[in-house]
Amino acid sequence: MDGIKVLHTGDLHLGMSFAGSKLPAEVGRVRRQELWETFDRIIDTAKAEKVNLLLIAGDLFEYKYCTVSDIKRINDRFARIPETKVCIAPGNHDPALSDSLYNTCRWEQNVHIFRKSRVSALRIEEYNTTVWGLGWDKDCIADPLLESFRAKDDGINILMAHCDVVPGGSVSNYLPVYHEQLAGSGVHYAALGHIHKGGEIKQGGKKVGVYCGSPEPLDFGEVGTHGVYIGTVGRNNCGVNFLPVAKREFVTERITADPTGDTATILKSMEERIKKYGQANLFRFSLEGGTDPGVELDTAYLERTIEAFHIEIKNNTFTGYDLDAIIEEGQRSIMGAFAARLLEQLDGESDPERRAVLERALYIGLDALNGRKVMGR
Amino acid sequence: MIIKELYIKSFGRFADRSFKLGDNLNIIYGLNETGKSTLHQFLEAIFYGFVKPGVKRRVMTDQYDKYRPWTGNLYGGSLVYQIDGRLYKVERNLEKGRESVRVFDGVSGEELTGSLGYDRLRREVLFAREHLGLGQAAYKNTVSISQLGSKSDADLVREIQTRLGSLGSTRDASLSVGRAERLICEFLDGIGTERAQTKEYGRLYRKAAELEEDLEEAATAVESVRVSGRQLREMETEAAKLKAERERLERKVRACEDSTLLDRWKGIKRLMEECESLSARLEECSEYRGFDPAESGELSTLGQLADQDRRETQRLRSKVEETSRDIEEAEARIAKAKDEGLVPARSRFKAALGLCTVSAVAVLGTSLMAASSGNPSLNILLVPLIALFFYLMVRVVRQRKLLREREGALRDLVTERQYMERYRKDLLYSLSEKERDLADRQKGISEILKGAGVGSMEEFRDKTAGFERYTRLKKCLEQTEKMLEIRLDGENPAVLKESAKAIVEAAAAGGTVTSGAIGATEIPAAITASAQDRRERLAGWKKRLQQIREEEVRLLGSMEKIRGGMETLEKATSDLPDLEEDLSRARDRLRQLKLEREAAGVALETLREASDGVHREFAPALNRKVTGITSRITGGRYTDLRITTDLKILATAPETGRRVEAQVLSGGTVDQLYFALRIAASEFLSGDRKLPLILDDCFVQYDWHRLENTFAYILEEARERQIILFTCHDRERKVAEALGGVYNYLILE
Repeated sequence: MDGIKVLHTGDLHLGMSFAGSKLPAEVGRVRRQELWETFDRIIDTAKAEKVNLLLIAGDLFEYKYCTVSDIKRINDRFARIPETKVCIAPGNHDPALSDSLYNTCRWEQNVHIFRKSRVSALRIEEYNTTVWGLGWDKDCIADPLLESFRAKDDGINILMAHCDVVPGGSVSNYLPVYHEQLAGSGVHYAALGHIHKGGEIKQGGKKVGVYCGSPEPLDFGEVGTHGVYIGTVGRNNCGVNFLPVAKREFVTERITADPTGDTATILKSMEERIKKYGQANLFRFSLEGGTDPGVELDTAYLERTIEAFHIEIKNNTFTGYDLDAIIEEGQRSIMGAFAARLLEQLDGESDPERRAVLERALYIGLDALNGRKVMGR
Repeated sequence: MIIKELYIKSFGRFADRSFKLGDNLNIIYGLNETGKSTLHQFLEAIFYGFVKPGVKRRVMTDQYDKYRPWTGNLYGGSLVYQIDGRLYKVERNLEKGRESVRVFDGVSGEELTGSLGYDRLRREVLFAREHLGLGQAAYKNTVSISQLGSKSDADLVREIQTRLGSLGSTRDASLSVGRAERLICEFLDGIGTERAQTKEYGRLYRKAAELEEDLEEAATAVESVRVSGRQLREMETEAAKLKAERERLERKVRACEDSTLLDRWKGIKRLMEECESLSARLEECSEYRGFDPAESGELSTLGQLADQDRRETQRLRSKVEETSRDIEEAEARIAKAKDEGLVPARSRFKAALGLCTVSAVAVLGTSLMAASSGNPSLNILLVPLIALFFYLMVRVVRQRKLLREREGALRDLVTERQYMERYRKDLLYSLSEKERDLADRQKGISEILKGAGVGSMEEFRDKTAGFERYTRLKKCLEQTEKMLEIRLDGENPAVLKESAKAIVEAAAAGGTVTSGAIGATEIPAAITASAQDRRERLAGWKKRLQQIREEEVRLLGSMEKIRGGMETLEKATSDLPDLEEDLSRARDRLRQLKLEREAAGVALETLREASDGVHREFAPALNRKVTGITSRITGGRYTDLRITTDLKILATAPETGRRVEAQVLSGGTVDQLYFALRIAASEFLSGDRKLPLILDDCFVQYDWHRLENTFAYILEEARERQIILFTCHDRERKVAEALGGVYNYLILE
């Protein structure tokens, strides 16, 4: 065989909570379901493309949330591709701890799990291939466990790990792997997981590994198109390419608010962006710039008005008081005295949380002194 | 500062109008809607434009549109004023997009704009701030004084109190710390606290607490599911082991049972064959079926007794003959003992006794002779004679003893013969007795044989034996049939035969029989084991099998229970992400609200501190000034005015000498108090700059007397600073006239 067909994925986080992503529960529920749909698409792709190896580089599911029923569901999908060997290297979100579902559930015959945090080999004679892998079996791995690894077998060698590829000597609690180690590992393809953005890892201009990225983006930090890597790995050639499979994208956009609080212009800007990316995506708009005193942007109205799968509006505008002028008036006015006192405190404050309180206090006070109803954020 | 001239290109109702002002008091008269307020506003617009104060960008106030020119489009104008003897001219274009401010030297015409400050954000030349020393807000408090808006006396007092408080604590009559505090408190109240359950913070706090509880429950459920999963896994492994062991044992048991079945069949088959054999043999003995062997016992006894008698008779006869021979032998021995023993012994004894007597006589004779002769030689002869005598004496004793012995032996022989004879006699008697018994028994036997219809004992015995064999065979057959019945236990032997045949054939084929899984390799071992061994093994296996089955049932029950529990628990855990998401959002919102609360608290505290600071610095001086002015404009009527820290205005009523609150004073007096307050604030804020004072219809409520008093003060004040008074009444001019004041009078039409 000239090469084997692989599908490299990972970081699916099936069953995860979107609490960290600040998504509402109803959106979280839909997204959880969509993670399963994406998993199904990956399985369907593996079947349609007659993939020899399905490489899952960790964080297939969430240790905390995944249930036995979920594992049955996962196994059911693996059973649909009996001709494909499924290799799993557990990650930090689904470590193969003693009570992990990796250890307490029965897995399909075509599934191999690298349960230990030391490199072991899975020899597949049929493909003249050795898959080297290691999985998380504890909560923290700070040792560079691939330090002395070098693929020894003839044939095709593939490495799997859920790790943090860092420059040599760097410290990481997420299984640090140095670029040099990957370069010297002697494998023909390093299927890695952990970095949700995904992408190729290069050392000296040469590709030494691939982060599959999360096939379905999980929060607003994971913008752009997401998918899997699929292609052929051979001794002399490696043609593995990115294939988008994500159902939705996370989009973050900044919009400068009209100082007068004119929502029409904001809406127009948002609609333009939504049109550009598509309504099926999740949008986070950050409203920025100064607004006139007394102007309060009705973000709830904006969220209600715009149509997209999920809209999130962060009101990062600030009231455009001319603080310098106010302070200058301070000699004669309570407003100046008030502003001066708070600005003095702000100057001496380094704690960001306290600074946020003081800044907010400044604008609350100024609004109140100007006889304006204080509006909450 | 003195405003010399206003030129309006276009502003509101005015177009291309100039107004020249005097250095002291200017009374600008005009009825309503003649443009007093427009002129007033024009002054402020020239100084500050229509840009919103305090905003960090150029935003027009609502006034911009309000005063757009009714005709023409040259929105703006110019102003000439004098400061410290120097004339300045300011030209302002107010038109949006073409706004401009240019400042010139009023004498040389030199443009000074570039040398003045500039607010880039608001695009404003800051000439007013430099020349007036005031921002727009301060200008409104210092230069411009308009009438109070309140109509009722009570409202008027409250308005004065508010403004007084604002001035006292903020130096800005338009600002109110109290109001600001109230707004912040309203804001805080709107957010609420943990305890205020109807407010957002309280609601969220309670929701978060509930979510945390739910989350804790869900987390516990997750842990329980995990523990159950581990247990289930262990149980599955255990169940698999048990199943494997059960199946192995079942195969063994089946093999053993098959083997037992084979054995059983063999036994049954043997019993069936035995029954057939016994039936055949019974048929052979069927002739003895009718024989009655009832007397066989008696006959047998008689036969046995006759035999015994016969044997005894025979023995007695032999014994009699033997005893007779013994008697004959005894008589021979007696005769021999007499002839050969007793007679010679008696002869030898008599001979010895004779010799002894002779010797005794010899000794005696010799002794006597010796004694009588005294011949010693005789004594010598005497010694051998004595020796002979003793020798002969010994012989006599010995012969006598021998004789006695032979006599005793003879007596014994005789006694023995006599005993034998008696014994033979007894024997003969017994013999006759036995012979009689024998005859009796033979007679009985003959009678029995005759009764049985047989000719001889042998024949009787044969027939009895035949009958007994028949009976035995019959009994044996019955027993065998019974055993067979027990062995069969209601089963059809043909079915058993078929089963056995199948087992054997399957074993021979090396496969399994259809009725169960018998391992090919296990049959021989099971079959070859001894029955006892097999029974023991089977009992052991069955016992273990029973244990395993019970254990499996228990285990499966437990597993089912755990699975059920897991399903229930998993339903509870399915909400975990939702709960976390809800809780996360609730916590985020709580954090935001907490920040808002904290910020509002800080704002409130800072506001109070700033207010206290300003109040401490400004209020006492303000009080003094207000009291001084009030005293002057009331003609010395209220000389003891006091404003308390809680903003009560107290005055001593001249009629009663009692201190009263402002509420009890007349509306005109209260209006005077307000005027005093504003003048005092203006003086206080403008310092020594002597800025113009613009009074906009301030004396509407004044009666003539009050107006006079006030104008006396105004005319005096106008010597020091320019005063521009807008009014719709002619009273002000008349009062000024009456008081002999100097003033510049302008009429708006």
